[in-house]
Amino acid sequence: MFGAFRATNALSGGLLWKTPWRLSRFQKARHRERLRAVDAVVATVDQALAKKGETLKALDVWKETMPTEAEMLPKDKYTMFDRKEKRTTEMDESLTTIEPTGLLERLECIELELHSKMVSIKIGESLS
Amino acid sequence: MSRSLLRSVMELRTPLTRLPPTFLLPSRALSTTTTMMQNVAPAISPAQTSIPPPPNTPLNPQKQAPMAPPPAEAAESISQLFPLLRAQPRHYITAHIHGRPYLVTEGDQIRLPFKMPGVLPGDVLRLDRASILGSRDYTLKGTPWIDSALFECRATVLGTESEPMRIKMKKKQRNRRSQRVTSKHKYTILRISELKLLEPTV
Amino acid sequence: MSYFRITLHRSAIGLPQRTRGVLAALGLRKRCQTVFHPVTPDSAGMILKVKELVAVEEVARPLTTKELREERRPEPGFWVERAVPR
Repeated sequence: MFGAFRATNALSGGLLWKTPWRLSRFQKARHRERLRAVDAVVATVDQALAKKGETLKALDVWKETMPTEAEMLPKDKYTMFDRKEKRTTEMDESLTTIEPTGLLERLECIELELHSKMVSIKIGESLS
Repeated sequence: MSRSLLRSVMELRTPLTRLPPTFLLPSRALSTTTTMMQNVAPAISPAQTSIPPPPNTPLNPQKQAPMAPPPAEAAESISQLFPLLRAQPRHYITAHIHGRPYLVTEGDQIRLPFKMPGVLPGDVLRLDRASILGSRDYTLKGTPWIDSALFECRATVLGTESEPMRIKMKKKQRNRRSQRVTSKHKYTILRISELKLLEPTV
Repeated sequence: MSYFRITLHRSAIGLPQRTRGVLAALGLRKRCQTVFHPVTPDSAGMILKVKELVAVEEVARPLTTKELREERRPEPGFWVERAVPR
């Protein structure tokens, strides 16, 4: 089960070098960080202009129309529109489509895992 | 089989032999510090305290804010735990010289990776920037620096040391000329002559 | 008089010419470069055009290049307490 030849998803399947269709939680965390950085820039500019008593149309439009990172829905945060996709949205940054092979591989992986569990159960029975 | 069993039992009986010999320790540690006490056990820190940073250093307060406890709590833990740290026999300190950390105890000899300008052998330096101050059981962590009124750390300049001459031959392609470039760096040697923990004046 | 302290955090490689033009107008050529502009609607508009690339602070006065360099220099961490007679 362990070591160099353990059954990871990348080794047990054949075509798993592709970019995943969704972001990992670390990618999502970094993505939120970038969104918050943009919010911080807008907030700083807004405060500085308010102190001077100036207004800026672009800033007002942005504040009216665009949500901050905290207000965004997860769907808006991590996905973007793709007209090729049936579900109308696609994961941000990794614009790959779900392909039937990928799905098949994932099913195979689940099967493999189940199989290994059964094997371990059998070994345990024989030991006890 | 029996020999290996015997060996493992022997090793269990004398735990110090399982430490790697001195020449297997990381070379960086060997080159920069020479510790006087060889078999120092790794310090267990049951209580970790931290203190508010000095007023001139908060560079990025947003980043450190979630890590550091509020100042009142930190001051309280200092007043409670610092005497315990002070009562312990041997202390170590992570002193920063030009931003580089040196983990030292009293009596250690440091080879700085540069020649310190304007000092002569015999000069006494006072090290006042430290991030960690600890003993066998307690550790005081600065956020990021420890209040320099809590400790006194002095180092004596022992002199300079120089490495063997480095020779590098430089040659360009399709040209017979080769250049001989030499360099010989000098390093300042310090000895930590004193490390004293002071009474907190609060 | 307050100033924007603008630092380019993300590179403009692969971005449209218009975005690069805005960065050039701000005086930002390479990553981690810092420039100072007075707080005006003009400079605020330029910052909003490249808000995904920069980090902005509001400061009271612009720093010179020397002062910016001095900011990055770590403290020596020691002082000569007792010197031998020279």
